[in-house]
Amino acid sequence: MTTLTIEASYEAAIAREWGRLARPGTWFTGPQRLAIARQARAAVAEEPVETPQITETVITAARAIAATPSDIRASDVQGLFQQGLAGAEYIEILGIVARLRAVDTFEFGMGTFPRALPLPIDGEPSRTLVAEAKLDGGWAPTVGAAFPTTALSAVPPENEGMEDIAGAFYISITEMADLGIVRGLQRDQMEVVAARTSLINDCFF
Amino acid sequence: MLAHSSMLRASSPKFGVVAQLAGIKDLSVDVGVIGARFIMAAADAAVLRDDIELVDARAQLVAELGEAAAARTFAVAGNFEMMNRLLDALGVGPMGPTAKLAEELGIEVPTHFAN
Repeated sequence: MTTLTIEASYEAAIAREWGRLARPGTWFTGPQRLAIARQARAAVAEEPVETPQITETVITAARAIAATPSDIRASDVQGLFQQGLAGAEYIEILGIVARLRAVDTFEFGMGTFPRALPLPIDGEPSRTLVAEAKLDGGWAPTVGAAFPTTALSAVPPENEGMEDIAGAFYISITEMADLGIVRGLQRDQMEVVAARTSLINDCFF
Repeated sequence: MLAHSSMLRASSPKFGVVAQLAGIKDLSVDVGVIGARFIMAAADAAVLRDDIELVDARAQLVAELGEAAAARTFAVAGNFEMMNRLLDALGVGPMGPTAKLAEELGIEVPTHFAN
């Protein structure tokens, strides 16, 4: 057996993510969002890639988040901000790269990686600033204290995308309290995967 | 890692077992959860991008728990690849009671976090 069949609910979630990736975001255009995704994949493969659509600062952020997230320190993020990257832009890059990683790891396991990235959709980013977002227990702005559910809250469409992937791939926020839930795996089996993945990634949360 | 180790401890009695959390870090310890050895081998191969280990690990997981379980294993691994990045890129470390769990599991938690 070389691949597993991707069931419809996963296909639908990935299709929604590919739509988000291709469309103009809050601070980046569709071509820029795809350039961020290409840099993220190239960083994991330890390869260079040309992406003239985005700045070196954006490339640095995308590659670090993709390939060496546990090595990121406050000084790295502050350095990006000093080079002109806005906090909300950092959050959008984070959302794009993190959700791409979710899809790519799933597809690697299934034997279907890599899925071709979508074609970009023209249009301008919304540039919708969330005024209440501020530094609160994290290195970049969040609405409320930095926490898994608020990590991308400074750019609401990115947070909604994260909730969509989490609900499709793991369990939804509203299902978190259900310790007896079964979705392909029992909840305790899912937590084995969660804890083991986080251990490998040196994520201590 | 610590928050979901805590959730593993809390959820395993719902399925009639008491999870041995040490087994997440030390593969010589049986976690006690059904199929955990096969689940972890497949998740490890996907997260580490080990396409050689993956072939056997995925086949064994499918044989043990079925295709739907294998797909969910890779999906959950993907989800936590996402969540790990969100937290690490924001500098969010362990909170509250999970910090005590680190001591129990013999895990040294770094001190660079923002919270």
